[in-house]
Amino acid sequence: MRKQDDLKQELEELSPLLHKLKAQENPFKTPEGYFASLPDELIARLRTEAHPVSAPVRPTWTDRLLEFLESLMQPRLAVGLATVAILVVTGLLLLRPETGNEATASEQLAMLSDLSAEEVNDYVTENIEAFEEEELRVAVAESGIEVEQTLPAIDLDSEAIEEYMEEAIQEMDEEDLETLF
Amino acid sequence: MQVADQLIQDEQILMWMKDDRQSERGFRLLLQKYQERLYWHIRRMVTEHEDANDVLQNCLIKIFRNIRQFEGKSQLYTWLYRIATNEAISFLAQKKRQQVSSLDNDESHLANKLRADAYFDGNEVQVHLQAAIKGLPEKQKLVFQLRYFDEMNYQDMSEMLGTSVGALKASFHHAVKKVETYLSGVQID
Repeated sequence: MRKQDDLKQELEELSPLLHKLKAQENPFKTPEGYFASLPDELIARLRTEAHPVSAPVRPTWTDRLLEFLESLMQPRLAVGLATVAILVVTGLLLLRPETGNEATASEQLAMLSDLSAEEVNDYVTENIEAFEEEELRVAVAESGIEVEQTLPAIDLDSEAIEEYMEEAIQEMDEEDLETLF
Repeated sequence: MQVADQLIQDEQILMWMKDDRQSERGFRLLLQKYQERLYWHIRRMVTEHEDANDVLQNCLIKIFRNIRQFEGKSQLYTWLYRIATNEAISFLAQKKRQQVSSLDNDESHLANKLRADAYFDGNEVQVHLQAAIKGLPEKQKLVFQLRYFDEMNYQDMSEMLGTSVGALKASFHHAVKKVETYLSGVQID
């Protein structure tokens, strides 16, 4: 710090009133012991901020839902789903009543045989809403394949699903609920 | 400030603060030497103790974390003042944005606030002096506070604010005249 230049003289010349006021005591005060405790307070804050104690992060209902959906995409399960998709489409084509303008069931089957499992799976996924639930059920039943043998069992009983849904709903805030309903 | 505090060498503070094993020790030394000066500088800018405490703590944490950026091109205390000033200006700007009414910012509002402040026990002249300072343009206010209260010399101020000594002198003189005019115009019981 450089040596003080002559503030006193400068003030005396500029404003005797302000010069006089400067001699008065500082009117601002601090709580008692403020400066004595400040260093410890700051050091404590630095240590806390350097190693924050993080609370365990509880996954949100959306995280858990995504995790569940991701589990469906596991390779073993995905192959199973693709197989079922082919069977479902085949079944639907066989069950649908034929009209004069459409290809016969055998022709449709021939066209279907040209498609890869992946293409069929993509088609079903994209157009899943176009299929009636009953049609799907009948198609699977008609195919003669037992779904349980094809798909690995998902370890979720109805009680667990109910519990999961209840928990998820409890975690949802008002905005989430409004979005859903 | 105690004489012993003034004898603490900035070189020692810096050496310890830049050494990971001794940084806390160096920081304590820096606080011993500068915490009060920085507090009063900030307090005069933001007025209330609670605000000054928040700004000072944030400012000192920044200083601790960024001490390696101090290259010694200026004096340590002007570097510290610059950080404190910037922190206080940011705080005031943020506070201004949050204010509902523009009246919250005028001189009479400040005078009333000071009279009710438990950590202000000045007389009426001092209340009006604070109100007069608050009414100055920002740059003049800062120059006035640095010169009148912190007694900073023009050369250091020039280093800190990047303004010429001549311009700073002119700024201070204008500010003094405005404050004097304000004080002579108010009725003090």
